[in-house]
Amino acid sequence: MDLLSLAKNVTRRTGKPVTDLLTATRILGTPRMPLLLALSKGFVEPVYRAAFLSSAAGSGILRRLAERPCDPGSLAEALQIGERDTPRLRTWLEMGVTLGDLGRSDGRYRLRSRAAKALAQTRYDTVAAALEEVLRFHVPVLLDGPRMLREGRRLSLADQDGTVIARSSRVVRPLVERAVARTLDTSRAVRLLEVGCGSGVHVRYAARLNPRLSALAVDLQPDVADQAARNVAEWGLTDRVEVRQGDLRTLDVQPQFDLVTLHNNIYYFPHDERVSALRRARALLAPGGMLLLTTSCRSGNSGLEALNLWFEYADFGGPLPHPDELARQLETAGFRDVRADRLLPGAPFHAFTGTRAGVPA
Amino acid sequence: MNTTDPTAPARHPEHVVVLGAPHRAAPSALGGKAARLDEMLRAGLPVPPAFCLTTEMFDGFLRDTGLAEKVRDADARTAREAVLATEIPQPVADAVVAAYAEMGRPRVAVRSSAVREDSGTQSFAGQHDTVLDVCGDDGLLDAVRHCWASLWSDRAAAYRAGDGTPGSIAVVVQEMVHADVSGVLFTVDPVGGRAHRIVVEACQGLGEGLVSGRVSSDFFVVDDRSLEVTEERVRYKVTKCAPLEPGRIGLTKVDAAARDVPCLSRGQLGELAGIAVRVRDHYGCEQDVEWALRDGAFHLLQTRPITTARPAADGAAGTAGSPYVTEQPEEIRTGTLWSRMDIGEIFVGLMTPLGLSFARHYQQHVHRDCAAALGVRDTGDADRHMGYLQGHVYLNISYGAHLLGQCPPTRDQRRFTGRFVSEEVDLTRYRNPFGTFPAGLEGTRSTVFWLRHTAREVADLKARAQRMVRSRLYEFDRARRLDPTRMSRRELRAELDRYLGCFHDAHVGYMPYYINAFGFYGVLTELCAKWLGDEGHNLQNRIKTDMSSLRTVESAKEIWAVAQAAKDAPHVLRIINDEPLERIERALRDDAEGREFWDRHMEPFLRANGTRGHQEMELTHPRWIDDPSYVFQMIRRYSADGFSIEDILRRSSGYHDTSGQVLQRLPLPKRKALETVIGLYRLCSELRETTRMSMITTIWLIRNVVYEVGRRLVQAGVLHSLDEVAYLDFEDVRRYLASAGGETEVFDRGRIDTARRLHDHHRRLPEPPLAFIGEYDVTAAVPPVAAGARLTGLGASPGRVVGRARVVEDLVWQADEFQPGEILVTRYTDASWTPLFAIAGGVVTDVGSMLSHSSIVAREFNVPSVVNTRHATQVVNTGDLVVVDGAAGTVEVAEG
Repeated sequence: MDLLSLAKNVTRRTGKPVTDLLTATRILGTPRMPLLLALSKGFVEPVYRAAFLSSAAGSGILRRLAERPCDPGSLAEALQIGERDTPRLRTWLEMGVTLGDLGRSDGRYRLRSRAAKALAQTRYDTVAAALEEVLRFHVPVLLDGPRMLREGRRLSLADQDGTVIARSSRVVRPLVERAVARTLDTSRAVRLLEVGCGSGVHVRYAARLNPRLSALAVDLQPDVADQAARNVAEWGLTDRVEVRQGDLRTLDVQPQFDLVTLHNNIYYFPHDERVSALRRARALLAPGGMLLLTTSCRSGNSGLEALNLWFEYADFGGPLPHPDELARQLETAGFRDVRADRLLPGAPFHAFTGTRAGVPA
Repeated sequence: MNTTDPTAPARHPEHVVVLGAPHRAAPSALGGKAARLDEMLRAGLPVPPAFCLTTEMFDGFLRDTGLAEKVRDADARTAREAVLATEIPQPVADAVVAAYAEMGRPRVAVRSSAVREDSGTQSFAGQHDTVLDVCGDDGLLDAVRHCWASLWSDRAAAYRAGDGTPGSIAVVVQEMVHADVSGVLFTVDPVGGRAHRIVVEACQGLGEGLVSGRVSSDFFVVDDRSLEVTEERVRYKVTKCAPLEPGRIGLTKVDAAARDVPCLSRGQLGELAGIAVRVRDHYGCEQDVEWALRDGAFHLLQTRPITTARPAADGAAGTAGSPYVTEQPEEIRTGTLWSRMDIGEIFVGLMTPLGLSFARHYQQHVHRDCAAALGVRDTGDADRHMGYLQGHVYLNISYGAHLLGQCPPTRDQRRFTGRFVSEEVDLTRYRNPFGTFPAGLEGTRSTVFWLRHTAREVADLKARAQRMVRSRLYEFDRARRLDPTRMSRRELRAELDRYLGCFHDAHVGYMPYYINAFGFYGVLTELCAKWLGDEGHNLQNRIKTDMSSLRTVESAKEIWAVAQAAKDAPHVLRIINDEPLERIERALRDDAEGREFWDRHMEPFLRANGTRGHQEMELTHPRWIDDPSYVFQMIRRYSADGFSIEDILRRSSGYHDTSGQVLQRLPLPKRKALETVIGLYRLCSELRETTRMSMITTIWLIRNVVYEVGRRLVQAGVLHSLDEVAYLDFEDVRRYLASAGGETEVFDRGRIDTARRLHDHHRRLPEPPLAFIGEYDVTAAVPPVAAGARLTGLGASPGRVVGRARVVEDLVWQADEFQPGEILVTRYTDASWTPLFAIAGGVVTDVGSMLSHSSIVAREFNVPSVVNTRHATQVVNTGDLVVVDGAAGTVEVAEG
């Protein structure tokens, strides 16, 4: 969408201000001015709103306001904001009123826009998280790309906020679960290795599907692994699921696994290291064991292209895979019966499976 | 000796005490064992010469070397390693060596002598270490340090639990008696404490074999008044424990001439009993004596008061003599019919505490589901299904028959009951104390359940067996690539849980094939008798299944193929023939040609057959894959000249199955019916074999984990050796893997010793009956007296054959001695004997039934066989010429 058509679009939607705008343009006579002002309403404002709503959702303000209208004082208390800063919080909330997402009466704020009301609901939490991911990761790399290149700067793992990633990856959770349900043998005991377990939800899902499943879940980041271990304890799965901080490439365990899973993390491996990582995963499988790898793939979708961009600018990981190429890498790594399946027609999310050859009869 | 150095601390002659000689050392400085030997020597008893290194020497060693500081707060392992790594200071070493030189530098046994050993209430047996057959000054000093270090073994710590410091330790150095015969003696009968019965157990070679239960032994009772032998049970003794080379004790074969004869003559028994009476008089109480015989002279190694009251029942049982594990009403307890006749063919015989506790696990977690797999709706109370008596597992036939009454084919209880009763049980007055299963609504619901279940089962019969085979190979291949020594405790726990799940599924899966095979056999027997009359006599045993389809028969052919491959590679065959059994595997793998042979022939063979072993439910028994000795023995046997597999196959195929002709005379509908039943019998027999392999593979998987735990316990010093795994409780192994605590928190050394004593006690008892009603009184049991030279049993495979008998007590050790055509005489057999069946002229067993696996295989090989003779192994001697009549079920010794 180019800027001109955007401006036209905005004109159609909000007639009167644009009329004013045109008047003002005439008055000011600066050729760049009209565009700038047009952007403030039709282009800049959505960005403001996205940032405001994402923050309001992430901090829990939306949920509180959905329960009942609140004054800044009680909100500040709930968010553990000092008394001195309460006026600043009020200013921030006023911004919400300006943007039309909040309303105010008797000094108390309430939800006003449909977007705000929707995002306040628990079931849209993943959308809120995805929004936050876009703002925190995708926007900066779009904004800073050329400058980063000029300065020779790269993104690092520290630039990622694990909790945001974990929240936003829940968008694809139903798809991952579908892939797990299709692959997991529930008729017998299964020993699972989950590489990059994140919060551990996928292991939990597998453990519930198969009561005889036991798992080793590893994550590269110590704090993520710690959180996963706490989650596992909370879910009462400590007996069956062991969580360790660990790296697939150096993990020293016996080839005991019937299933190795990698969900949404193959792009954390640089492109040319994927085959060796997959080889390693294969070496940890029992003969006849299976690998399940789920990931979004390149598809022209702008969100995924932005994610791809992020990884291109990072000093770790690599681009999102192309389905055919990743399937070939699995084969190169020694997997048999390699398959790449779309889990939802039209969606760029894929499940790859491959088996380690059994002992010939 | 360095006596000139003035700076050296004073020598320690006063810390070396020659036992039995005058000395001033306090008993506490000698430790329990040395003090007892000292007293025995003073009493003039025949004890080999010995000296003791007192606790003061040990304390001085700690002080002088600075170890005392180091070990004060160290953990057990660090302390142990520090002691082992510290040189004994020269003056101390000199004193030890001087005493050794004075003795004449013989081979010696070096034993630790704990201060608190045998302190009245607690038996400290096995607490500390023993090093046998030590020679040379350096060897002696190493052994001494080893004994000192044992003060910090977890085993010792386990005994001390609660009372703090390790204290001190003395060491006994005693001349080693290279015994011709050894054993133990009890001045009172351990069975019921019957008076005037001195019980002697004797084995060939060193007594260590007896203690570890690895060699068979003779049993005698001597009257303590007349010193006459009043009872004698002589077993066939194949192996003995002996020094293989200086410092290495191991099993070796007993000379053929000494195997059949009693270890001790009546005169020797009288002499030994006389010594025992003197010991008892000296101490004034009943004694448990360890003795050895060398060049006709007796030596006493140890004597101790019998502190343990007679081990009462087998643990939980309310009443001694009843196998029940839980309290039962009187009429049930006294009216229940018990049997151990080939139950699953894996429970036969005396089991170790580990085996028993695993059987108990099976009872609690698997058995009821097995019943459900047969279409039984109400599977009852798990605790009632099985029982335990004198280390033997029994099936509760009354309860089983009662519950099986829910299924139409077994509504008549006699169908089930009859299968498990041996002739010593009189059923005329037997009434099932559980009664018949209620009819009415409950009965109808059960019938519906059975019908639905059976319909499903029949539809899925073959496919299910195939799934079990696939699953077996998957689990086998997976486990074969795992190195359990490199797995964490958590990982091992996941493994054990997984394997127990596999075991459950495979056992439950196997059961319908097993029971259906004998169900169709029963139907066949009835129909033959009804429709064919005399002509149909024994028809059910004359039909042959398709030989190639029987998995265990196949295993004999596969060994044959491996033997041929070895023959084609003379270098490989040389390794197999020349290396000692325990080194063949290593030697093959280390050799280029051998490695290729291993990969191409042995590995596939072991994949197909390796998880077999004898009495597979007994976890302590190694499987072929764990110890391929037997496989190598059979390769040696099969590769020797003189016969070929063609001989075996010809014999088998040459057998004329006349059942077809007999059937021709029947009217078509009856013929079709019979043929259908025969077909189903064949199918189930075949699938039973296939799925049995899946089932026993899961036991092998479990065994691997248990032995890995055992290895860790040995490493931690809780167990002396892997042999002691036999005394563990299976549930403790599970608890250990589920916990993060130390080994001693879970494994109580006192319990391990109690289990060992109980097992030793069981071994000494006469074998309990195969079947009995109510309770069994071991003291009232009259040992069976062989009734002349003619034995009667069950004719399991028809045919009459005359041949030389060979009594086989130990399959692994004797497989290579067996000559083709000989009559195999043994206590009982199972699938692992199949390769030997293939070359046997006939098979005779003490225990067995028509549908024992071995009976089926004997029929397949067309080998005449008589089973369940009860005492063939006692009546028949190796080399006797015997006549086996498999149709009549008789065995006659034609020429003794």
